[in-house]
Amino acid sequence: MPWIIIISVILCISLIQTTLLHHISILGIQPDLFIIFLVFHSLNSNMERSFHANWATGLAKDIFTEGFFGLNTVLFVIVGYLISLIKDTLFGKHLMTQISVTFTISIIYNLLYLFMLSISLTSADLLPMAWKCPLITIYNSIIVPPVFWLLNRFYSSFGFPSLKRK
Amino acid sequence: MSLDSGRFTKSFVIYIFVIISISLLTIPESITNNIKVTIASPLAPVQNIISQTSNFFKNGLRKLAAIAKEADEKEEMEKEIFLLKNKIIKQQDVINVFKRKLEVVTEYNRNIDSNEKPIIADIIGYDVSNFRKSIIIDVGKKQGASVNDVVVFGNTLVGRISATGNSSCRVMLVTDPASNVPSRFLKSRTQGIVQGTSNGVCIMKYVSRQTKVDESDKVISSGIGGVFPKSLYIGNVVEVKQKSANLFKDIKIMPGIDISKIEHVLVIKQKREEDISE
Repeated sequence: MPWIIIISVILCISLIQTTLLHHISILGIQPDLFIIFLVFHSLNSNMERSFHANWATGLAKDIFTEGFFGLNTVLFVIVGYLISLIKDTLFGKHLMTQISVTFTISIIYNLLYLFMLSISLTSADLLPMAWKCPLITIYNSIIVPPVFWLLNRFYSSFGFPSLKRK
Repeated sequence: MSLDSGRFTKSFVIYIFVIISISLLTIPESITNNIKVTIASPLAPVQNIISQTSNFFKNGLRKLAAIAKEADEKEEMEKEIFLLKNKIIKQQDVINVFKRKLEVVTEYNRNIDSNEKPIIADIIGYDVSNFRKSIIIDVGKKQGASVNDVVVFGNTLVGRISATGNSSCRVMLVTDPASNVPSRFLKSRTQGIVQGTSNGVCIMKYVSRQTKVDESDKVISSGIGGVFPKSLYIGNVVEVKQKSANLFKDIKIMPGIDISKIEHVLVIKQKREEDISE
């Protein structure tokens, strides 16, 4: 049952991201709901479950983006693991923690993604793209409160067990 | 004695009244009518007042009922008008969509000398990554689309198909960093490669430092390599820079199409090897 809910949420996020979020893009930059979902899961569930959820989220992102299949899956697992390592030292329920973790993770993920992209696309000059990283990060951080609130409400309405840390 | 006389009087009165009543029955109708009118006429003004008042209230109530009914009808009519207006707007939108589709096809046919009929497609999704630029369109293998088919809007190059499904496919836009389009300047005919940057602009690579490039010069596809047909408009030059040590110029191109502002594209089917052999 929890997996059906997680997969449904990932599907919803994918649909929203591919169809609606380009309407609120600023300078061609749109918020990344996948990253926010990754942070939400990594902060709120145990390592094993967050690993699986992050893997599925990364896979979904790979499905809906151009380029190498599996790049996001790997990066999401790595980044999710990084959060899992530090989450016990953090108070994950606090809004400021959620925003700051999303901010940090967004910047790490985007730089890693850009690095991987520059390896795979040797002919392209990707340095001019780096300016996007802080903007994406700021945009992600701004929409953390409503997205976390919605996810919390949604999961709590199902009495979702993954929100209780073991 | 007195008791007997009292009973007698009562009985007498009763008899009298019975006789009068019977005698009344025998009076001709014309007389009785006069009697009735004569007796009723003093009450007429009062009746008039009462009936007028009652009519006033009755009419008032009727009017109120009619107003309430009219209000209901008006509300229903307003709903109907609202629905009809919505229908009109929807139909206008459908007409506009068809008009735009027709414009796209007409524009393409006017500029390209080809017998190949393009496939018109709707944009149904965008790339989820901020570093890649692609779209999803509602045309797939079923409609005859395949990988490397070129996607245009009018005579402007949009990109090429990078992956196909049965009823949808992914189009890598010219603004994607992995996109490389052999191209040339419209005026000077100098060749180069247009590469995406994912920032909404493209760069033209491998244009030697000796070449004279005007800002606002147009860039078209050169057709070299065989993937993209020649003479498709790509965009305008917006910036030309020359760093002292570089062999090539840094040229920025603004694509001719803002992908967020269009709803439809055309897929141009490439000539397959089997088609050529036929």
